[in-house]
Amino acid sequence: MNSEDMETFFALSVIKDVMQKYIILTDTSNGDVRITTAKENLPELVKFMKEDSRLNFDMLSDLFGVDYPKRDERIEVIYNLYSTKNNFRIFVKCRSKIDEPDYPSLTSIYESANWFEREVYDLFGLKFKGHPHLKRILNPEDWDGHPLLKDYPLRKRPAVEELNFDAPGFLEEKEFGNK
Amino acid sequence: MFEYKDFLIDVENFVVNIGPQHPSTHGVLRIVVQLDGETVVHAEPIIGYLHTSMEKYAEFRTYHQAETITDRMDYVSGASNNLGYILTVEKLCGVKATKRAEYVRVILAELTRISSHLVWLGTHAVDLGALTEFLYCFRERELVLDLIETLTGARMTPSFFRVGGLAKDVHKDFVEKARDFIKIFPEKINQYEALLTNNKIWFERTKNVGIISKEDAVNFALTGPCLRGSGLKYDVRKINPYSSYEDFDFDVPTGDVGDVYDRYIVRMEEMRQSLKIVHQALENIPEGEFLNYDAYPQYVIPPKKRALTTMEGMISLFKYGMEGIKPPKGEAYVSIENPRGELGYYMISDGSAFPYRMRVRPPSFCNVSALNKMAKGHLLADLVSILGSIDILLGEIDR
Repeated sequence: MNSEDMETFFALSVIKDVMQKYIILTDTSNGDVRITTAKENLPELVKFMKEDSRLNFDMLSDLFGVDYPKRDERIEVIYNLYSTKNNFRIFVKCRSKIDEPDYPSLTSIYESANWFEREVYDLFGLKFKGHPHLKRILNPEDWDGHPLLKDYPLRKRPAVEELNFDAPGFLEEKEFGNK
Repeated sequence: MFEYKDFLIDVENFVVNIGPQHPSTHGVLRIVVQLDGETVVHAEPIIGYLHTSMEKYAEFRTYHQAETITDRMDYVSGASNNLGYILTVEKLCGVKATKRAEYVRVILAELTRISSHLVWLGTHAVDLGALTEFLYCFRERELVLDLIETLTGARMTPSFFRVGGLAKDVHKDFVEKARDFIKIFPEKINQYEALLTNNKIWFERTKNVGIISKEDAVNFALTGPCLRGSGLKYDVRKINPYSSYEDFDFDVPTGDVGDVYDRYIVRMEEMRQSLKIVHQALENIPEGEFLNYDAYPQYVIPPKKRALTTMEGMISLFKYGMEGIKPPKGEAYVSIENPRGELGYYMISDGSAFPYRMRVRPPSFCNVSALNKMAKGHLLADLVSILGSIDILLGEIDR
């Protein structure tokens, strides 16, 4: 184990001191630090990690989903938080159902969450509550299904006859922008 | 919101659609720009035209087959992408490559950085009207690609790394050719700089254009030259050294203001530093095995010589080809410094021969998401300059 990992373990101990009640699970295998929290507590935990002067997690480096179809709450969203000042990296995990109506968005805390959350919505179908512009980002607007779910087949294509090119507004862009 | 008839009448809310097919977007990026006169009010990048769901494809490939997907994401810096991927799989398996392999990996990654920056410089300059630069850059890029071809057999998509080492040992021709290249290249960088760095026209187009502050850059998760141009000295090679980067002596250049010119200066200096690293690595390649087969026979492919002369080697080569490697259950994250920024891989293994999930943290994806922030309030012509300075690559943004 090298010195950076030790630093990250210091960060973990600080979080555990203050936010113990929000942490469900801690996993430190393979040298990375991963903590699991409930979706209700996620914004508060992340806000604490960003604003605490000892931690200073100022960058949301990545945000992505993983699908575990056998679980009841099958989507696991993983937040990759990084502190540029202290060189800490901690992964925060949060589980949810696909049709969860109250999954919190972090767009008010980190700007970079905007596109990442759109990507998770596009590929997994998880709707973030409070996102300013939740639209598909990689797939076309009228795409059917969410490709990274495990029950989505690898080579699925929309049937051509399903696409109605003559329908009013099919080829027009309805709206745009981050309004 | 807006409808097309509004755009035709209202001059103050004039909307211009750039791309998806447009020379300055370097691929198929579409930008919808809302203008007030000639000033950008809002620039919304619309991506996804190159989306092929490579993360999904990786779940249906064995670990080594999935490696060939990674260099097709960022196709002008293939070896860097392979490196990040292989390091993640090695972390999952608990394998460490030999020192010789690590040095060769560094050489390839840095050569790739040079070739990628040459593509950026050529296209960025040609977007702003300096055609000569483009011809110069592609002339030297050809030399770099030839070098990579001598070593790996492929020009842009090498897939040369294996878990625990390399596919082949270094050929002696490569060392000779690389030494020649190191001799001539510093003079070439001076030539590029002579055309642009103190050029009045270049100043006008790049100075104080597309400024992004350090705080905003971190908030938008920018990495690589875009973040260092804003003055934050964040380079994964220095902060969390991987693949023996701690052995080499190099500087991390930074800018002050965070405008297009700073990002240009940072990348130019990075090419010199990369060349320095290649030089050090090339002169100090340690002797020894290029595959760490003896230490981890379970995960590492046997070298061809062993496979064809010993029985165990033959069996393990056969198993390797038929079954692939099976890392233990677990999750691992490794990030490396790609020419465009921090490229991270998060791999989840369920103990089978196929990755359960491969997540790529794409650097250009974050970088281009800050385009609106950088372009707001500038002229439409500056948008092309800003877009060039971000150095986007759509293959990796859309994946």
